[in-house]
Amino acid sequence: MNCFDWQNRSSDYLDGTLIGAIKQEADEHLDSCEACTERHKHYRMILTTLSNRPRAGLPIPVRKAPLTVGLPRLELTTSRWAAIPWYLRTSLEAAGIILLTLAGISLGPKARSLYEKKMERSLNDFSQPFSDPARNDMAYPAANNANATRLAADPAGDEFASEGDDDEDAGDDEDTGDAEETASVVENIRVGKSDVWRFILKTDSPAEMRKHVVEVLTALRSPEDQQNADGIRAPGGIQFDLILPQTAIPKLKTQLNSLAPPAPEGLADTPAGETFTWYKVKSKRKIPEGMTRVVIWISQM
Amino acid sequence: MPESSSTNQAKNAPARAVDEAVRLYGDMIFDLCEAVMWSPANAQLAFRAILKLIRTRYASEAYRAHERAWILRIACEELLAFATRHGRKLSPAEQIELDSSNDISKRLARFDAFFRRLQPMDQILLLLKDKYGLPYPEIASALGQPEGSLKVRRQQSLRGLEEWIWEQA
Repeated sequence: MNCFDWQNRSSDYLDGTLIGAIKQEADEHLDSCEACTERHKHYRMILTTLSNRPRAGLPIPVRKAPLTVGLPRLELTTSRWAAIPWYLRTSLEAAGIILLTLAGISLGPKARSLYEKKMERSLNDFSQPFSDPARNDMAYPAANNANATRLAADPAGDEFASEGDDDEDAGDDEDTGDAEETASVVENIRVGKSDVWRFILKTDSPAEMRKHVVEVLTALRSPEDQQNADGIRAPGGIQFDLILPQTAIPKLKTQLNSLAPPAPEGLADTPAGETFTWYKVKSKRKIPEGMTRVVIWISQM
Repeated sequence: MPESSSTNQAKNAPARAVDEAVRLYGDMIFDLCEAVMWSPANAQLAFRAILKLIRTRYASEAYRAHERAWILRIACEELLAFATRHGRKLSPAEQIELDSSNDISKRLARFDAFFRRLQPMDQILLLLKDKYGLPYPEIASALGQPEGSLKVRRQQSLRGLEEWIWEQA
């Protein structure tokens, strides 16, 4: 008999029910194996401990009236949740997971829209008018109202074209071509209700460009609407953020294009040499009917 | 018309059966309940649940063939169900504390805690066999298990206790 066999028969050996040759083999194994002998001794101690274990007496009130005596409340050792049958618990857990997933899917876009609104609000808060004394830390004078009045009298921009800009001196042909281009651009541009037109001008002198842009914008807007007319100074440049009529976009694009300086030497026909770029993006901001948001960024080249 | 005495006796038979069960086997059943449930309060509740079951099943099952076996069967069945619902297990901190001492005498002093690591059925088996000296056939009837399985379970339980107390010290 080896240790495994003896282990399998240990219960009968402890009860004394092994008889005959098997008992003799078990005895011989114990005589020869110290580990099993030790184990047998431990088993005897366990059985002795169990047999000498004190008996819990039935309380007398329970003995006298076992079904009617008041008993203490059940001491819950497991949570109420764990006490629920497993099939109910599993079903409830699965339903909860599904509901949470659906809630996450449905609330995700809403959370994103709230975030975007917050970003737009912060951008609006940042868009303080440049003429505000509390924020005016640079000596950029406000737009010349006289110029605004003069330009308003000539919305076509001819007056502006004669200011002496070198590009404008290229010839009258260019002015004619601009009018034709404007007409074609009007047909091709699709201005939506909630769009943001972004124009980016690169120049050596943002301050100087700012004056021209102010004149352009003043001409395109109504005289009483001068909010954000002067732009704000931001790190890296000057930004204009304002609302304009949709019909003014083609003209604005044309005039800003004409304001753009030529490409730096060596960078012509390269993306880095583009001094005027523009694009249109969607905006969730509520804009009055017929109007659109325009952001003009004048950056230092 | 007054009820006959036999009818009254029939009506009171379940209550008398409960009283007899308490008188004859109440201590043993309560001891089993207390060993499995740990808490005396829960043991009393389990004991009452067993008596209610005896009262309910008295009318539907004949128990005179072997009264003790029938009562033990009901008691073990209800006690195991009660332990499944409300039984207590050692927490991880208690397990660590239990295994922390290397002194065999201290580990033996915590024998009850090691004993309660066993499954409820193994606890009932060891108590019925080694404390109350019941024979295997009666224990097999009470627990609803074959005798061979009970012997194997007993051997495995003893092996487990021996390993927890001595080999892991």
